[in-house]
Amino acid sequence: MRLFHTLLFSLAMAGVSAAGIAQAAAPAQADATDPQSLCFSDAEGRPACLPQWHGRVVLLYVWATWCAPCRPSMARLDKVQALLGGKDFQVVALSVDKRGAPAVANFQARNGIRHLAIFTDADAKAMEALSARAIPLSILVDRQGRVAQRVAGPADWDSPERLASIFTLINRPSGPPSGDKP
Amino acid sequence: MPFFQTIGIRTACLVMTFAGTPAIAGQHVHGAPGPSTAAAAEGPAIGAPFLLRGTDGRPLTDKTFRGEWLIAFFGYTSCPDVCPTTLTTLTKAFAAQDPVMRQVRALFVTLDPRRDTPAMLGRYMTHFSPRITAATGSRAQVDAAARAFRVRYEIEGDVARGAYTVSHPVAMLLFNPQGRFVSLIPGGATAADVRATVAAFIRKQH
Repeated sequence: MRLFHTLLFSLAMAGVSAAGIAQAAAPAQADATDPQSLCFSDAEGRPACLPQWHGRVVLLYVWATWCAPCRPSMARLDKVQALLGGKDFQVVALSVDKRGAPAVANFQARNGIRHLAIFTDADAKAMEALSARAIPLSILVDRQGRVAQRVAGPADWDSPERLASIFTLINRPSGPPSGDKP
Repeated sequence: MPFFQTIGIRTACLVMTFAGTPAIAGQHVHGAPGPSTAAAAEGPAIGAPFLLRGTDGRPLTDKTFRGEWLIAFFGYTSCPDVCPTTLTTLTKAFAAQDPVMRQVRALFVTLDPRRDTPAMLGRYMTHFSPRITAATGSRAQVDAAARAFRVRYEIEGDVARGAYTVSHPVAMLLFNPQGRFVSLIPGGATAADVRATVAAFIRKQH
């Protein structure tokens, strides 16, 4: 039993590294998560669920104030929301901070984030439902609530290429996804 | 089937297929190898000895957590591209405050003592459960702890300029109250998985 445990240990410790998490999470294939059932909290602690934006393209961004690579993207997402937010599109920046809305509000105030509504997942339910093994994690959801892209790590959503992928979804007629690459 | 049994079966298959292969499978991109199977099969118990410092400056050793179940894992706070959600997952597991998790503590050891000073770690850990103890030390102390836990890691980049990353395993190690290693918990485990694994070993012990 001791040898089995040590062999088990060796193999597993030879395995996943933190750098590998991004590799593992990056593929754009559809995952088992059903965005239709994803719920979290708004700034006032009231339930908010992804289906409430049904009919809009949603960019869901899972992040935390303690996550260094997560933070720079918030300013970019603020720009994207200012540019595109409305009846066709919504950025949902979902923080997994244990301290919830006050921590996010403090961060946003200090960093001049003005257009992003506060959403929190302080009990990490949504994070686990999304199988988010690392953050930041971006999930682009089409108007019908289907996952179109899943991107691990910082993503420059205000770049021409990323904006183009958002516009593609906004302008797509209703129907099955075309299998966009991340 | 309990989560830990599933992992054991999958890994047993790997043993049969890849026995003797040094850099096995897994998803590591920057090549942070684990210990060789030969090295791990011999030698002293996993997880001892070590001497580190907590965020309050107090010493932490392999005897500090005796009497409690311990989940130990390694990492650092300056995540380059992505941050593992291990600390959040454990915070969620501890938040339940059920009879199982009340018997458990967690130890987070930084592999980057240069940047993760006690003060830095102390501030960082305020975002997570107080049942998770963060530990740092001198480079030599951290290296010795990594050896004790059979954790291999790689520092890549320019350390002098502060532009470097640390590639490391994300699995968690579970130790019983006697300080004996009993199981690995994969880095992608959910809070429920963590709890179920601990609960299963608690039942086994009684």
